[in-house]
Amino acid sequence: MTHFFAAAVPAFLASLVEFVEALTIVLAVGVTRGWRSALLGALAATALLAALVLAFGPALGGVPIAALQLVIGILLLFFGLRWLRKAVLRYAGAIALHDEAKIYAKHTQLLENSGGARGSIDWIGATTSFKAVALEGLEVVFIVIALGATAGALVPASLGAALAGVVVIGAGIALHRPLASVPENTLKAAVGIMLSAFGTFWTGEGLHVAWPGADLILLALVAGYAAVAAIAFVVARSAVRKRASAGVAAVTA
Amino acid sequence: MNAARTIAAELVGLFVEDRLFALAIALWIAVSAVLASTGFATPELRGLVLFAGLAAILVGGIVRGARG
Repeated sequence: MTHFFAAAVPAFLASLVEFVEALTIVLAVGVTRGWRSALLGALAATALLAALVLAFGPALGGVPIAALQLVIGILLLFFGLRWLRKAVLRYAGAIALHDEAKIYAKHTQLLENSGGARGSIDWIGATTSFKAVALEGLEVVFIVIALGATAGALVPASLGAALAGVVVIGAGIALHRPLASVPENTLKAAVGIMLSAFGTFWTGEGLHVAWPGADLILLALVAGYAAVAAIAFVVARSAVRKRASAGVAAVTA
Repeated sequence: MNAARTIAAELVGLFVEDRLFALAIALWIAVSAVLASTGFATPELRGLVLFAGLAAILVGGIVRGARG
């Protein structure tokens, strides 16, 4: 049961973030170029992503577990720490927060200015929708395969991602507008912490680290990364403020 | 060709955004692997060393990003 949630929860949260971002563009395509092309592109991309999970997920089952844990652990470290770093920088104000409403407005304008549709299917719309779902979904595929293959929990990880898809699509159909109020940065930070913890654990396993408490050390690693992110946030916010006041001083002078 | 390049760039982008940050992570994992293979410290302590290095890299990467 623990393994089920350990794989399903990060997959669900990460997928929520990615699907919200994809939905924004699919909505922009639907409104400007027609729903047929928007849905065609999204469905084709979903089929491609599902095929990737079905192809790579079970195939990784044949790789020796120690080698698999080390490789996936290292990849999870790169992925998780990248997400965590970016989320903290966004919290600190060093980089702008992801604004779905702004992105929706930008894509709507771009698609409106892209010329008229030719034929029964608008290929500009379908391609834009396909690219958005495929590119955002690629991260979901990686997380599902990584968590699923190393913990032997491909089904729970896939279920977590699928549930996120149902939630986001349902909300999109109900609201007909981008899900701008979803706390994307908080979700990204939470997923970044979890994936960094998993990455550290599995990399350590691959390097023959004897973790005290075995799997339970994951909780300590999650707490450790959360604490480190909080400290880094305080230092980063102070650096951003210092930089801003130096900028103001320079302009005043 | 362009499509292949775009796909390759997207795949690399999944893991690498700030090159120096990614390089530091790779180096620390390599250092941890060397330490493990030479029998440095107890197996329990190796985990702490791995985490401590990664935590320091995370803080350094964030602070560097905040300073611009």
